[in-house]
This record gives sequence, C-alpha cells and structure tokens, in this order.
Amino acid sequence: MLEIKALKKIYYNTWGGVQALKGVDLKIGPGEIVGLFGENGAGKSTLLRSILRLQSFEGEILLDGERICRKNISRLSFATCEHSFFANLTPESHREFYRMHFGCFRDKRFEALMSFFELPLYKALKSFSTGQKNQFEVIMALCQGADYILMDEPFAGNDIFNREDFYKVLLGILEPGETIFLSTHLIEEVERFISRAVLLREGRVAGDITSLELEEQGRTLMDYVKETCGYRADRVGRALDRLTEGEEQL
Amino acid sequence: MLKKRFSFEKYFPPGYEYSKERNTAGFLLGFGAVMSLHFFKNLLHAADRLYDHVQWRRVLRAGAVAPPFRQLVEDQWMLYIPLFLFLASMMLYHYFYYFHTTKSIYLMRRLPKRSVLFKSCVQGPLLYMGASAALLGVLYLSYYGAYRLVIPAECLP
Amino acid sequence: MVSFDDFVLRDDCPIYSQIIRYVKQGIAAGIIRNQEEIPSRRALSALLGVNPNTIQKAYHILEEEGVIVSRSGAKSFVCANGETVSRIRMELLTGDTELWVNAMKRLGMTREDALKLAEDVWG
Repeated sequence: MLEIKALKKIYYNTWGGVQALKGVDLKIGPGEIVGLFGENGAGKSTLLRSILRLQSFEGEILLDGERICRKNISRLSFATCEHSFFANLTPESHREFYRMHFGCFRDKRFEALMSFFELPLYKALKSFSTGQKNQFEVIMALCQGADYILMDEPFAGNDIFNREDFYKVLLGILEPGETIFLSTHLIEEVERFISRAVLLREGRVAGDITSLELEEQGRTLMDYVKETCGYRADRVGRALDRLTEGEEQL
Repeated sequence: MLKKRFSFEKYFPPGYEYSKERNTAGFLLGFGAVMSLHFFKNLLHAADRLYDHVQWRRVLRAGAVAPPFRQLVEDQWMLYIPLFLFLASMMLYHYFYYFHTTKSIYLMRRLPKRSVLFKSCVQGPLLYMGASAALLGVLYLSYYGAYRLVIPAECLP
Repeated sequence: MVSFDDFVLRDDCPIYSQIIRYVKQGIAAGIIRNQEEIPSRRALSALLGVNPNTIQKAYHILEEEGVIVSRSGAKSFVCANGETVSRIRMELLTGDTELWVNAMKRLGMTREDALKLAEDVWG
C-alpha cells in the first residue's frame, strides 16, 4: 500500500513561493491501475516526483508503512516523457545497468516487450524515434522488477495504434501485485484501461473515483472530470459571441 | 587470446564520451611538463655560478654552494594549476551530464546504492589526477637525478 | 474457446453489461456452446484493452446466474444446457421486446397500431 499524507510542495522563484501541492492525501493499493488527471500545473509531475524522492516535500509518503528510502526504493519505478535513460547507450547496456543495480530485473519480460515492439537491442537510444524512445522508457519501468510503476505522460508523441497496443500488452503481462500510477491527458483513451481515476486540481485531490463506480452512475470519465473541475461547456460559445459581436454571421 | 584493453568507461557516467576530457587532460599535463623543462635552464645557470671562468677553463670556486633542488623547481607547481582546475571542474560537469538530452538524473537518484551517482562524477577525474601526480613524480625524480649529476657533490647544500 | 473477435465495445452502456450480453446472445444463438471454455479474465482484459476489474465483475455476475462456472486454475467454462439456453433466450427476447414496447409508448402509439407496424416491418 502506498500512502501519501498531507503532501505539500512549494517551489520558490524570484517572486516568492508557488505552492504546487497544497495537501494531497491518497492511498493506492496493490494491483490498482490508477490514472492521474489534471490541468497543466495542477501538480501531477510534482506528486510523482515526490513519491520517488526526486525532490523534497513536506508531509509523509509511506510504502507498506515505511518511509521510502534506499532499502525499498527499488520497489518503485518511473517512466517519464522527459526520458530517464542514457541516450548514448544501447538497450542491451541498459539491461546490464538495471541488472547490476536493481536486484530483480525481469529478463523474460524485457525480451518479450523489446521483440513485440520491434526495438533494436544494439543501437544507441539517441538514434531511436520519439515513439520508440517512449516505448523503451516504459519497457524499462515495467522490467525493473518494481511493484509500483509510476508514469508521467509516458505516451506523449506516440500514435494511437501504438498506444492501444501498449495498453493491451500491459493488461496481459501485469501481475496481480503490480500497481500502475499513470498521469496522462488522454482521458477518453485510458478510461477503459484504468480501474480508478484521481483528479488533481490546484494542488489538491479534487476527485477520486473507481471505474466501476463511474459505470454504476452511468457517467463517463470525461463527464466526471468536467463536472469536478467546473468546466463550463458554454464557455466557448459565450467567448465566440463576444468575439463576433456586430459581425455578420454566416 | 585477446586481452581486453583497460577501459576508463566504468569510472565515468554511463554513456559519457570521455575521450575529449582525457585528451584535454593529457594536453594540459604535457603542456605543463614541457614548460617545466625550464628547470634545465635554471640548473645549468646554477651550476655555472659555481665556477670561475679563467681563460678557457672553468674552476670550481671554493666554498661554492648550489641552491637546493627545491628552489630550482619552486614555482613550477603553478604550471599544473590549469590541469587540476580542469579536472575538478569536470567533476561538476559530469553531474550536469545527467540533465543533458535526457533526465537520466532521475534514474541515478533512484538507485538503491547511494554512492553510484557521486562516484560516477568524481572517479574519472580523480583517476586522472592520480595518474598525473604519478607521472609528475617520475618527472621530478628524474629532474632530481639530473640535479645530482650536474652539481658536484661538494657543492650540495 | 469462446471467441470475442466480433465483440465491439460501445460507449453507451457499462462494459461489464456489454460482455454479459455478448455471452448470453452467443448462447441464445447457439454460437457459444455448452462446456466451451471462456478466456481467462486476464486474457480477455488484454484482448479488449479493458481493466481486469470490469472483466471480473462481468464474470462474477455470469457465475452467479449460473451461466459460467470456474474450475481448476483460471479456466472458466460455459454452463448452458438446453434449459439454460431457453431461459436466456427468453430473457433476452423479453428484454428487447420491453425496450420496443416502451419506445412505442413514448411516441404515443396505441397497441393495435404498434402491432400493425411490427407486422409491416417484419415483411
């Protein structure tokens, strides 16, 4: 169980402090596939990076009751749209690196995924296309041997067929104990894939609902997000009215 | 059976191209060493001052004492400041390598072994510093040898 | 093995009930046979790109209704003898008919007009 308690984070810039996270409380259990949604600047990346101790924060984050430290950090893995691999190395070198530093690398899964996505093992990653780089980034996060796989907009730049394939493969290979926490803008696309949606708004959890609850209520995830974030559907219409006042309408 | 050549790779950040750094360090060391040859000018000058020049012969002056070896190489340590400054700055440069192109810093900071990140930044330059110090040690040892050869035993301080 | 190749996911109705309906329709039409194996939860989840919890819910309901039964390991089998097939057929037919009747009522049709319309359309 991953527990996040009263998580706060302030960034300081020249004009003072910007509070990216204002108090996030969240619990994620094993086996869940959780989607993290929110506008840009809502605090999604900050939340993920804090869990991984890639930046400082106030509050508490516990993994099975213990603080996240060197002992248990290998139970968390990370895939980010910024890419965290070594551009000059080959996938094979990465396999060796991960094997050396993370005890339980998943070799078979690595080979299966590399072959399924037809990624070359012995070419330097800087020569890969963006889509391939994204795929490799996610593959490493999946093969590290972690229980909690955190992903920050991992599919930015992949075409839709690519992404659909990936969701299906993921569902096929994930074991019951593996948990995914994925931040993305692609609300409609991941709706069926996830089991739970968490909405972040202005540094706080604005919504938290499971897919089954949404189905019971007969709402789509997009409806839920719009309602919770106070999205005004007539916003565009009214703005256009103001913009085109006095002009001839077609 | 081909023996694998000694590789510096593991002392540097993964994927880091260290050849430029190695070459620059080599150049700075070489530059310093070449400039240090100035020692021989000092040595011959000091030796010369031990003698009187009578017609076409030189005669050792009574009681002439040569300056100590240390004095002849006194300021040469400054020749190697660029080298060591360069290597020290490279340690910092290695850290910024993890932010360049991709954010591999995210991977390094997630490793269970805390020391890997730090070591990858400093080990390479430290190795070069050590090798340079060793080579310079050999160089100045040979300079000392020259000093003892040139200066007559009775004029040693 | 029950095939889901022609199963198309729609947006207008919960996925678990779509799966249940698909299985029942297959049984009623005779395409899905008694004792035929149904894909495991994980396999179906990967095939459709749908979260395993949703698949689990569908299978759970089907099990409760006695339509499928789980045996050793992760294998599940369709349990549809003649009686079950008839029952399911009736269930689906009644449900569809109710929908039609309600649609007719909503548009203000009388019973006679609705039945006449049905005859015309049937051809």
